Amino acid sequence: MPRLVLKDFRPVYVVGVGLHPYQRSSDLSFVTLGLTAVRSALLDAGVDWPQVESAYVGTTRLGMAVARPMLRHLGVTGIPMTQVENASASSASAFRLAVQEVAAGFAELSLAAGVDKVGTGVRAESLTGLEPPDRGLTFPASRYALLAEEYLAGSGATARDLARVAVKNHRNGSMNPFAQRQKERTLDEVLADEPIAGSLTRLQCCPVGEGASAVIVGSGEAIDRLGIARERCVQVLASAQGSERLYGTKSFDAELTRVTTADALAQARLTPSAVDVVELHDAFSIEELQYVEAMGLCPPTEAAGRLADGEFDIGGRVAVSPSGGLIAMGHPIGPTGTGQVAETVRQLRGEAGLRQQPNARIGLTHLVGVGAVCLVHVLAAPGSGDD
Amino acid sequence: MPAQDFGCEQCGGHDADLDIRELAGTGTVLEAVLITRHPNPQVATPLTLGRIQLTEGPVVYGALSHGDDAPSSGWSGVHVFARDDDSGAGPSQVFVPVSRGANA
Repeated sequence: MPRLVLKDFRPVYVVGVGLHPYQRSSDLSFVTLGLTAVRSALLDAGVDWPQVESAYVGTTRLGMAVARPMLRHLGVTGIPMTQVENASASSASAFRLAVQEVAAGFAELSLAAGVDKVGTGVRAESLTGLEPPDRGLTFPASRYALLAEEYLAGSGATARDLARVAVKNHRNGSMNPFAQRQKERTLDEVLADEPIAGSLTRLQCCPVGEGASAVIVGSGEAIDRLGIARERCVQVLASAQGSERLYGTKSFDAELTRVTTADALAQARLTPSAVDVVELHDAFSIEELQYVEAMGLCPPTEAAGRLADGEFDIGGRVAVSPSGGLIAMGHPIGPTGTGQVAETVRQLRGEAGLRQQPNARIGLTHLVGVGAVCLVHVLAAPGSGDD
Repeated sequence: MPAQDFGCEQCGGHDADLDIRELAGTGTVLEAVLITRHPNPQVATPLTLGRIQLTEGPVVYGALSHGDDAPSSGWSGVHVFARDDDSGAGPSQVFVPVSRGANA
């Protein structure tokens, strides 16, 4: 029996989005962070909390059962609440679950959110009882620095090309009031910043921080019944998720991205050339170059040159990381997934202000997570879906 | 590579299906980077970290040798072997160029 995909079910939409700014560690309770985002999303949708029928909350550092201590302060309603952990992709997974639930008819309106505070995360892989093969020598920046060396050697790109990713994303972040880093940086500033590993300097790596994000997912029936402004509802065309297979010496993040993005676009019956806006997992500058190639947004080895030509700028052929990406918007981990959805929805509604990509009709969100997992969603501007 | 009998990632075979093999400790460096700052204060820096394809096929990360043991023209493609180091001065195992020592 063929596998069912989102398009086999009734249309599902993002009807409201909200954020708490991503920021350095503070004394604010995660409850304050989360409620700010959720209340903002409810207001954006024009719905009340009692109308939401289920909640999925992504987090990685707040321990067990994060949803109710936060959401009860909206007024207890007894709805099903589920915590979702998928490392960097936690709230992207929360979003996928909310979308599937509404698409299948188990709920008319569902909350997908993410919240996190700075803290120590424990990877289950470190608890297997086996000595880690790397003997504790590697850390994320070091692994991506090695990938950068491989990419530079194979593509002819230079350390300056890597740094240009960060220049673009810091520029985008400077126009985003929710971004953790809101300062434009020159190429020389990025290159001269503190070296972390290999070609990667500090400004080419995502910051450590906290924050929250929320999206309200709804059915067409809910939109009509509740009087939600249909002209601001963004249809979710596809949801794809995969985990790492065996790739020999190839970068597993790039290979997993290739397969999962192809799956999502096939579900949406679109080609990469149809995509106008992309929010991807640019925790380190090299990742953006790798993933735009893996997604098919440009041919292999050409990402650096096309970036330098402005193709991935706001106003270019396809805006990549218009929010500022993980590098500048930030990566508080739990919130990052639904935060990407919030930015993409604003872009597709035409509500992104200074960061607006002109004529944005199709958006794509992408995250990978240790484990390794990959989630890709495809969204369509109001009037551009298949409903 | 630590021996494990949880199961094979390729075929799912486990326990008695699996044999333990000692690896030769040799391989080829794919890429290398200099680490100047490590989040674990117990890891001494600077550290040269390599991605190494072992002769038997698996790809591992490991510390590469410094100073006189380091190749003069980059690490990519260099054949290496693993050497234990109990001195406590750095990583407990370091990959050294085959041309720099015995045990190739």
